[in-house]
Amino acid sequence: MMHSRIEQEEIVERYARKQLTPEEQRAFEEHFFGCEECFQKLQEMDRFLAGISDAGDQGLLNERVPSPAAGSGRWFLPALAAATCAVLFGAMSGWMYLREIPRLRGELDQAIKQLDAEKQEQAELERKAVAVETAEANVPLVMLQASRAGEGTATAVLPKEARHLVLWIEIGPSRYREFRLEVFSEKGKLVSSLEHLKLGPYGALVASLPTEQLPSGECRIKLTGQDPVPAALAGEYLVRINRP
Amino acid sequence: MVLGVQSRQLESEISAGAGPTVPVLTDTELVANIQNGQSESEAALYEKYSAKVYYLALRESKSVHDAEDVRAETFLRVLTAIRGNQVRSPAALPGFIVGVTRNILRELYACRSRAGAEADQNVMEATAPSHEKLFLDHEAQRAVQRVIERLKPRERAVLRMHYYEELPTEQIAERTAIAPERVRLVKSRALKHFRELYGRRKGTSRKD
Repeated sequence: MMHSRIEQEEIVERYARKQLTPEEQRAFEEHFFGCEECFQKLQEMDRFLAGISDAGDQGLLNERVPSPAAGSGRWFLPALAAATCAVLFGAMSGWMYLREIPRLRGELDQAIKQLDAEKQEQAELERKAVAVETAEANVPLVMLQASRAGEGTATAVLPKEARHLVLWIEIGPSRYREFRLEVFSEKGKLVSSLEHLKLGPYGALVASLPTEQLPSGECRIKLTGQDPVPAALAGEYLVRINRP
Repeated sequence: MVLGVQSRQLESEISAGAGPTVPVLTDTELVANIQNGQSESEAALYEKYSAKVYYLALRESKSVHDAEDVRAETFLRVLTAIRGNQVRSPAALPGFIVGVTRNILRELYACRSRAGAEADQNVMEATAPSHEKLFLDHEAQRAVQRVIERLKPRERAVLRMHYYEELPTEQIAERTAIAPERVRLVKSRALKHFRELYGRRKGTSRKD
């Protein structure tokens, strides 16, 4: 039997599967008894057929059945991990979209409003600071005398641009070196105060009050001796604040 | 695992016959030397044909013990024939050995039949491992599984229909919508791949 025929007619496989005629079978047996190469191929074919038969018994040759040789772990675990990640990612996205994002957006809006308010407040403070630091001309001034003396109410006219009202208070000789000054509105509410006022070289107390703290109308100014103790009332004055 | 015990034994038989302990001689030289009383040539003859006789006997009898008995009886008769100048053509020695082996197998079956062991024989055939299982070992099993893993679904279907369902090539070609030549190509590729993997695995396990 020639190798070309053995190859062409798939004699090895057919012998292994017992599909040869008795004559062909006998001829091939005589051949492979003298041919190591064909005997080797025959044994490989037997093992291959045995393996295929075994795989068929296990269902490994079915088209859609995964091979256990591939191992469920080879694809199942990565697939399970990927699916779990996808589910977690979806849940996280949904949670973010439905709950967290609106909450964060609300917090952001609130923060923006707070920031705007702080900016406005800062701008106001800056404006006031500029106003304080800037020199001021034609500062209104009022000279006060104690109301107990029966003097009338002094009048202070505060122009629109005036930022301060200067009080000139002549109190005469006193045992106090320092005084406390308090300003009360017509309703008796304390609207402004100054501590540690001292007598000037002209024997008078001089104080500057922000006009924005002074309400229009009649204000009562109370002067108390602070030092040395004990403190005692040194005088009271009435001022009418007029804003044209 | 019972599977593969016989296969491993067959392999060991083949390995034992492949050892380079005796110089390789032609059949004509072997016959001449044996006829001249050289016992080394008798051993050489045994090494050259032992595995093949065992393979044929195992394939037909499906029994390791019967295969061993058949092999022993075959070589006894072959050597006797050679010593008695009963081999007509030394060049036809392989055919002669095949003939002796088959005669002994026939005698074995006939002997059992005469002894009224036909029923036992039927039971033996029914319970004996299939032809395929005789040659299955773990390495072959794993190598085939690896081959199958790498096949495309259609190629896997071709192998199943051809080897497992034993459908004719034309029917396989029709079912899978491929040319008949393609069926043969799928088979030969799978077998080639198996040979590579199996050879590698056997090489590795032998090193171990």
